[in-house]
Amino acid sequence: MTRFKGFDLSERPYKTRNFTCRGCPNVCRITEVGFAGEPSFYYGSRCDRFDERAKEERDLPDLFCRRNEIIFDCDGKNTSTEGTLRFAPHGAPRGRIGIPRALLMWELFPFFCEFFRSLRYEVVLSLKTNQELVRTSLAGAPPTACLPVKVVHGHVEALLGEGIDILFIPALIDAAHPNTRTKTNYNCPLVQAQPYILASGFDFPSLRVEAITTPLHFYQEGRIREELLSLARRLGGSRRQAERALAAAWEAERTTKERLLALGKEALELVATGATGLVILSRPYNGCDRGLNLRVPEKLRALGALPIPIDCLPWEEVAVDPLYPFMQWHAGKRILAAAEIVRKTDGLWTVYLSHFSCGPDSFITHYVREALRGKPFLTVELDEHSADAGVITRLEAYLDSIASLKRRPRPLEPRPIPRPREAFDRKKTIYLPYMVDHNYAMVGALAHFGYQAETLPPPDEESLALGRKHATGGECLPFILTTGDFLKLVRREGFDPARSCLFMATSTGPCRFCHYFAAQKMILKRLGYDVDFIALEAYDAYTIKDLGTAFRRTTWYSIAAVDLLQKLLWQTRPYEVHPGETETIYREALKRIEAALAEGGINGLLRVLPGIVEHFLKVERQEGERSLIGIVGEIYVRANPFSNADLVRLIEELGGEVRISPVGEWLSYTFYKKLGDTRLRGEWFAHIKTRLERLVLRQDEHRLARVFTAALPAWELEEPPIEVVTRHSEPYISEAYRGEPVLTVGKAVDYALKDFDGIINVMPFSCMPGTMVAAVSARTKRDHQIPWINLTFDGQEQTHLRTRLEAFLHQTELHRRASTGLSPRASPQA
Amino acid sequence: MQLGIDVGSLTIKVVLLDGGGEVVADRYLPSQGVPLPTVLSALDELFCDHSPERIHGVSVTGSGGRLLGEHLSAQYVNELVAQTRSVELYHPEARIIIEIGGQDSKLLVLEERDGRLVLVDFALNTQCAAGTGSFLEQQAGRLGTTIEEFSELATQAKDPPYIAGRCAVFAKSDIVHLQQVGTPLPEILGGLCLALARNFCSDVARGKPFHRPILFQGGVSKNQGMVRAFEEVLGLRPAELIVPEHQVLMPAIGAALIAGEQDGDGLKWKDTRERLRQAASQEVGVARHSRLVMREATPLQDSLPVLKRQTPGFLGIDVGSISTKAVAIDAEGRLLAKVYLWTRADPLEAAKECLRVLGEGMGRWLKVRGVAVTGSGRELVARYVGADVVKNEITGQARAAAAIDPEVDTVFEIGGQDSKYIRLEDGIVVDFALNKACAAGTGSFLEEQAARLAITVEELVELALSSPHPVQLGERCTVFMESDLIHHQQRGTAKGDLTAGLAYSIAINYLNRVVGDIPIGQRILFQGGVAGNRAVVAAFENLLGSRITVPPHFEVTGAVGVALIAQEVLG
Repeated sequence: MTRFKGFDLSERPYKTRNFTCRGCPNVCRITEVGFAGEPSFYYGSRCDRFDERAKEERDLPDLFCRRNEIIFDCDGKNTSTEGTLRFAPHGAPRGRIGIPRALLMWELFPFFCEFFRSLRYEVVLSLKTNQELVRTSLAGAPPTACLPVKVVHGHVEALLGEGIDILFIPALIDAAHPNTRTKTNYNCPLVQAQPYILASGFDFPSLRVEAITTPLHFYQEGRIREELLSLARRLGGSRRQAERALAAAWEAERTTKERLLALGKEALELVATGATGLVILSRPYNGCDRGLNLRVPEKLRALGALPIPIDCLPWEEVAVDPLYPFMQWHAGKRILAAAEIVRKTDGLWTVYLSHFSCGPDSFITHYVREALRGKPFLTVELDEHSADAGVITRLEAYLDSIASLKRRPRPLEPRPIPRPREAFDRKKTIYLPYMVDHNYAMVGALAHFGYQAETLPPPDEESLALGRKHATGGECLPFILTTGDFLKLVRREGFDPARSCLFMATSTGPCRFCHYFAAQKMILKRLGYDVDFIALEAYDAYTIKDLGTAFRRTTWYSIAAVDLLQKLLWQTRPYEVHPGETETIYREALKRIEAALAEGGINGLLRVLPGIVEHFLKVERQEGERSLIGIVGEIYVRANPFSNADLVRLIEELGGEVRISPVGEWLSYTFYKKLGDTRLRGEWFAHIKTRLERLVLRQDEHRLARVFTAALPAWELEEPPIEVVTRHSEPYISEAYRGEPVLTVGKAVDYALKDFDGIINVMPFSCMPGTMVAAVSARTKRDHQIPWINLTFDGQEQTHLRTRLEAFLHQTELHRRASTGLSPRASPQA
Repeated sequence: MQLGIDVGSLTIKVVLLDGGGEVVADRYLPSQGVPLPTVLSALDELFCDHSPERIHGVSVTGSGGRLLGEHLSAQYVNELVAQTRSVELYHPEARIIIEIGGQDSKLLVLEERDGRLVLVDFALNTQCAAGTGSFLEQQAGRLGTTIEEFSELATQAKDPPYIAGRCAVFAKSDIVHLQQVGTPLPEILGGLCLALARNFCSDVARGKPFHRPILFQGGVSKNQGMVRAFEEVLGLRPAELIVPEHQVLMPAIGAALIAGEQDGDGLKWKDTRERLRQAASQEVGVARHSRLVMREATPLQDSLPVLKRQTPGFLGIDVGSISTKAVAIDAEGRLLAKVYLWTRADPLEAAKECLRVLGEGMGRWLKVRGVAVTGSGRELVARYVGADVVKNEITGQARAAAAIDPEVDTVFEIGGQDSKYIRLEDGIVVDFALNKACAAGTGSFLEEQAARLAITVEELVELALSSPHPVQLGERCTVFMESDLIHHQQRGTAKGDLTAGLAYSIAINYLNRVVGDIPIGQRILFQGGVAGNRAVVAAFENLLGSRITVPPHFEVTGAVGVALIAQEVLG
């Protein structure tokens, strides 16, 4: 029987009233409508605050509320309060430690709370995230970071008003995981960088707060024990107290896990009896934080579904390694494990809660999409304008889809498991996407060892369009461009997948680079191209199974040679009298180097180089001085002209001279890291071998440098050892962080000490390492009194790029004129 | 004397300085999209009173300055550098410059070093108009005030309302609402100023510090309401915000000052004028799209049956932010009647009117078995009319699409302020997207522009389809697109090429900002009010190279969809 009140509604009077809601920064004008004999109705809000329909109360438990109680309610009291929580020390107090209710503390709080209380500290947990706190955070935090990282800022600010002595903001490098054997198990780079980002926003010493920023490695059992014991000692605990505190902390961790799993078990039982279970794929710090999650779990519950927190599922039991051997993020493993549980459990569905510019999610969603093909999932993205008007509409539409799918289930499709080949194959042509001019020398080196290789043409608009089309949208520019390059290749007439092999370097994280080949292989496979990938890994300093030291040495030579050649180009071209002359010589030189390497290997290279240097010396040069600008940052975008809008040429046109951090720097870094890793793991044979190899490479660098002595000043001939670069970076980003940011900041400082006039930090849009560097750049810039800008590229036309660079070059000119004239460039630091 | 010329995005500024840096003469003109002729006439006028012989140095600055510099053989100075220089002379105490012009906003951070004022940091606006002058201008136009009256009126505001206005287009709906409830104009204008000031802080300054004193300049600083708004938003005390005497001329003055520091040859006006005249007379090339080609259209079967006897049926009502739609279907799902009218920010009255029209037409014969409501006003209207089913718009649109074509895999839906994209497999929604907090890619922009060109939407379509060379307006914020359009119009671009360009821009913005990275399928249905615009349909077909089907009754598919759901549920 219909409830319809009839066509003539004039019989049905109503009254309206307007008011302004100041519940959030949207400050909406709300209209209240009163029908005779019924409760009032509200509309006009941008959020769903007033729009929610009368709640269909069910008996389904509020799992999110209970989960958060388990984490934060260590004493069985007061979690309902919005404010700060205090936990008394076990014994006479030594002091007061503040912990921000943000990021990984949404998981690790019980552990640390117990740890510090056992050490007789009062623990102060900051208040719950609210709109006001978000606003404070947005004003003070680095603008390019993601929302959850920004929000830490507000939590710290709140804690500083609570009379704390110590602020606990460790660099949480990796995470414990009982069921994985990958080399690394990282937290997101920006999560790791928490203390470094905060130190650029707060001056803790002047605030009389001691910040604990120590790196912690939970994935490495022995190491974390040592780290925590030494932290306990630092906080005044005796050896015995430290051991006891640690034991108590692990016990708290164990019971927390047990209670979470019990909650999950309850949820799965409800699902088995017909409840629509929705796993919220997320990180606890955005999925469970009511101040950030757009109240998605609450809304789902109001719609009659059962939202389930991800960490209540038995995700650790799922063996993720065989499915995703390249997954090096802890949060990623958990999300993929939960997706597997969703895949296999009837009645279980999922909402993927991500946030704007989340780097890891841009790749994880590729895999989740493949894993859940046939069982569609909804993605909800949070951002700082967090009043997403359509959230309810989205959730309702998704629940409607689920209802129809329940009636007519679709078959699950098998998911592809991309694995790279580890060995080169002489029967196949190896294709390298063009990143830098070093590619050509690499191809020469490969040819010398009997491999057929080809550098793909530099990326262009077509690569960009093709790459974009097959991306999820949030990936970094280098991924989009190299994907586009590969797509162009496979569409070539006569392309034979069986006789081809695609080259893509890789890493073990923590940045997204380690996912390039896997996501690319998936995309190609979906399009019907089953092509082999060869993915060389940075963790082992690019050790290749069937190619020995000789090949590695040749590659090193070719890369170092092109690094030196480029220095010649950049120091000559801006001053050339005949436009285009230097470029012609340079292009010619690249060809000769490739040919010489192919034919004669290292010796061939050494034979051809003196003539090339001669050529450059003959270029007729104008007088004049230009400001010298160092470009640092993400390796692909800094070096690849298409992706950086031909930055070098533009700067030269505007009157500057440029150096880009050399490509060889990264190689040196991988050797340096391997040295540290082998020592830490006690692999002495490998350690000594690496040490020797490193010595040889250093010798090779000297030998190459001698060829260029006539053309390059001493400070340009050799790069500072990595030890020096990392030491430069240490005050801003600790060496404990593994990856590019350390090199970027260290190299920038190196340039500043060599009296450069300006630094440009270049990065792809949403680059996590780049965001980290940008965050500490204000402090680095101030300490070294050097103009510095951060430039972000996403492949689209850059608004105002020219205007910005003009103004920047004006700054660098002032710097150049103000400099003492005693240029330390003449004598290399280090 | 030295000459400084600032070629901005919307205006030209020219100043003549004497040796002491005092302004002798100045001109401030709208460039109307043709900067070179404007500069030429400004200079001709200036040289009536001042001999060009006495000019020793010339510099140009501004976004169009580089090009002009080449024609004048004059030095080009970056605008941030130029401003820093003039501020150093006139207001050396300033630590921050807020400059808001037509399409550009800037924040400059200054420091004194060795007795000189140095630019230490800066921020510029992005592709969004939220923090620029165009935002105010567009809203003023909508409210029927000139920008001059605006200033006067805005200062009279006592308790300005909060206007959300991150996107200028959404600010419009706030304004419409405020007008309806009788908010006085000065209050609305005051509210707009506050919205712009907030947008500047959040979108341009993005966390950079506001050291004091702050210098506020550029065209928008003429607006007293804006001065007040910044004082309020930044919590400033009196005299902490300074508007310089030559508020719009500061970059031009800076350029002139820098010209004075160089050894110039002086201005050889006769030769230079000739070069400039020639350059000005040359047609500026405009990027064009390919011609809009309609594929053969499916004939629309629009006729509806006339009821002559008692028929059981179902009603569907779609209450959108711009329009409200209502339909009646019979027990087999055939459409019996439809109504389409404007919501005018009053969903209850709109629903009432819809039902009145349906009732008059067939109320006698239709035996209503069930009613379903969808759209942004669904909860409210459902309560009012006594609905049996309340559904979201995605499910509603998808249901209708699956009924029209069981094989459909893709639905485009574009309405006034909202647009949706839906992917289906076997009639089940597998993915969807809604437009986010940006109006580029929705329909209301098109209608507004038609009104501005003084044509109806039907005329717009005809003109667009006959255009030989549609103008490329690019993928941009609609506010900037509007000022581009004004320029093209001023330059005499044919109306057809403009309207066809608009059709393209709606399609491009929709594909890039709503569809984004979700794949597009093979069988595409285009629903919602904008689907009736054949020019937009053609633009989609040209861009995608695939066939787009516009179903009959495309404008009421949301209502039809939920009516079908009511039929399923209530039988």
